[in-house]
Amino acid sequence: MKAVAETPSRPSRFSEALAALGATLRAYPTLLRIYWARTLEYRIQILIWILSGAVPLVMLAVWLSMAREGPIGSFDAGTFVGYYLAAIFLRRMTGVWIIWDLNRDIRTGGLSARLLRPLHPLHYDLARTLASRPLQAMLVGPPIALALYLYPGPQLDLAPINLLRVAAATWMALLLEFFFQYAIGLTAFWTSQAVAFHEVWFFIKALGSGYVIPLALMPESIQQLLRWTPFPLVLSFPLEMLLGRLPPERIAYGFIAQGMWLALAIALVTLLWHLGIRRYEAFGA
Amino acid sequence: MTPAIEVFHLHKYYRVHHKAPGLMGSLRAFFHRRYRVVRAVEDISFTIEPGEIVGFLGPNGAGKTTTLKILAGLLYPTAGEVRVLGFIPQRRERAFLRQITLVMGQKQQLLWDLPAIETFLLNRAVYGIPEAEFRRTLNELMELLDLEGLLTKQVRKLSLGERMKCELAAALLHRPRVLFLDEPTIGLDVTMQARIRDFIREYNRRTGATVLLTSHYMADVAALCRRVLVIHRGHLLYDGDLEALAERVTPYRIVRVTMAQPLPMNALSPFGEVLSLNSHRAELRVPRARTAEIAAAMLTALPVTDLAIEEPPVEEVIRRVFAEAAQLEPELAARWREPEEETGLEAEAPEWTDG
Repeated sequence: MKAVAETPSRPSRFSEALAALGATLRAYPTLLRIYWARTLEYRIQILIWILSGAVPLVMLAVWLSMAREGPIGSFDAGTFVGYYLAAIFLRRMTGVWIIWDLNRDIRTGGLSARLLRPLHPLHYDLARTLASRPLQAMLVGPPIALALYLYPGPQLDLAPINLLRVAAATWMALLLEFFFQYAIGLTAFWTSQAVAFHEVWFFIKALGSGYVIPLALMPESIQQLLRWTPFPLVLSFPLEMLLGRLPPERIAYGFIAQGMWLALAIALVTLLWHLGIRRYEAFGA
Repeated sequence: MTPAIEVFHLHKYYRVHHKAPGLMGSLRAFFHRRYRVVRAVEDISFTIEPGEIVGFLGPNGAGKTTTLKILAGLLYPTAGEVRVLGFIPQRRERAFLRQITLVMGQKQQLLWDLPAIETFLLNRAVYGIPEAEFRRTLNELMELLDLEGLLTKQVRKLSLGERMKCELAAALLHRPRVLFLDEPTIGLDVTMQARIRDFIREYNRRTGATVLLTSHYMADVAALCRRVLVIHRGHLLYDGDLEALAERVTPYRIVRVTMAQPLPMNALSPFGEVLSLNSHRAELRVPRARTAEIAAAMLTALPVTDLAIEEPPVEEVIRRVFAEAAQLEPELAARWREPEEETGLEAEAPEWTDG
């Protein structure tokens, strides 16, 4: 007969962490499948994605009318078309919308159900964010590709190696967006203004990432300043790479910077989580 | 045997932002925040052995839910120590979370827009439940809770009772050894309440799980728990047998009689305090020690066709406990003064964790 231990023996911290990682990875296929199913439940939201994603078209129209006289800086009409159409697609691939849910869950106690399960609550949000990508790509990708094909001007660097690089940079951009937004969301442990912080962040990002105006057309001093921020890395970097406008050293620099900012964002999330969870009050029930 | 749950001198204080009503109040609060300390749990200690079903009783705001949330690892204690299955709950280690569950009647873990089976599958993945064990547990829960046909319906289209059954099933798929149930029958009709009650009893019998439950419905507690913890304003007032509690605080019993013909009040009042008299049916309150003697006297003196001796209802017992507490411990009642007088508490709150 084998004696049954009353309390389970404690594994070491390392083996515990390893087991947790393994369990987390094994949970992901199911998480992704379930959030994919949930994405399909929200048909109105899908329509809003498509409509709200069309903002760059307005900017494109403005620039095109200005570029009629001749190129603006290094951008001619064709470059503008390529830039903004690709921006619509990349924005769909990197946009993250978790701050509102996270803010509400922390402030009204919705986090409790997730805290009770042996999986970090962040993974539900990450899985939800990732699971909606294929659908967005399927809905927005074909029309963009068709428009780019029909319009004679745009030059994209479609070499396989470049597409691979763009995919990698886009993936990193998505993670950057996710972890920064998660960090901002975690301030809800302290303040009711987390969403307001995010508004500020969102506004600066719209300008600093090249979503509204290509960074290459901004004054050199502003471009210099933005190089010290993560903003260009979440859109401008993969976008300009897709257009074939980046020299190799800027590509290398971009990947290194993405890696460093991502490490910083993850560290920030870890720290804020660790400090904030002690303040969680699990209200609402 | 190691206790399943150990609580030593647990304290939990909340700091709440206090704002006077009205525009000026809002404006003042904008510039100068005033906080007060709410002592949700104050110096509570108890232990629960594996396999026990214990009822946690107390009025709204007594600190029951706060204690359950601390035991489940959702909240950090302000002071004191807690162990559940040997784990410190707020560390929320995987091995701990895989062995406990907390069901809150008003909160749901089910994914609202998808059928409940999807949440079950999610839990299977998150808890790492092997396929065969998952099937077995699911079949068992489907039988016990009568879930046939519910699992493939969108959760938002389920009735409250159906949803609650699915919530319970979702919370138990990983076969937890410790169950924290916070108002598991709230808002349910009597039949459904009884069904959930039977289920909890049966789950405890089959798995030997430890259960700590709160409920507003005394019937839940009376049916399930031999032992109760009575908590009031953050203090533990009683820990022990439910029946012994009834004897201690209600030194009387209820005698219910049916008579062959209607009798006037003055024919009954010599036997005890008449609680109700409805033509030939009456209810009397008699001293506990003299119950038998009085019942015998009534049988000889009155045209009684039926007589029953009953314990006072649990609600009454609990109400008395709280009333008694308020009388015996004026300093306890004093802690519940108006907020204006309480602002000074902030300074004296021990071990306040603020960050």
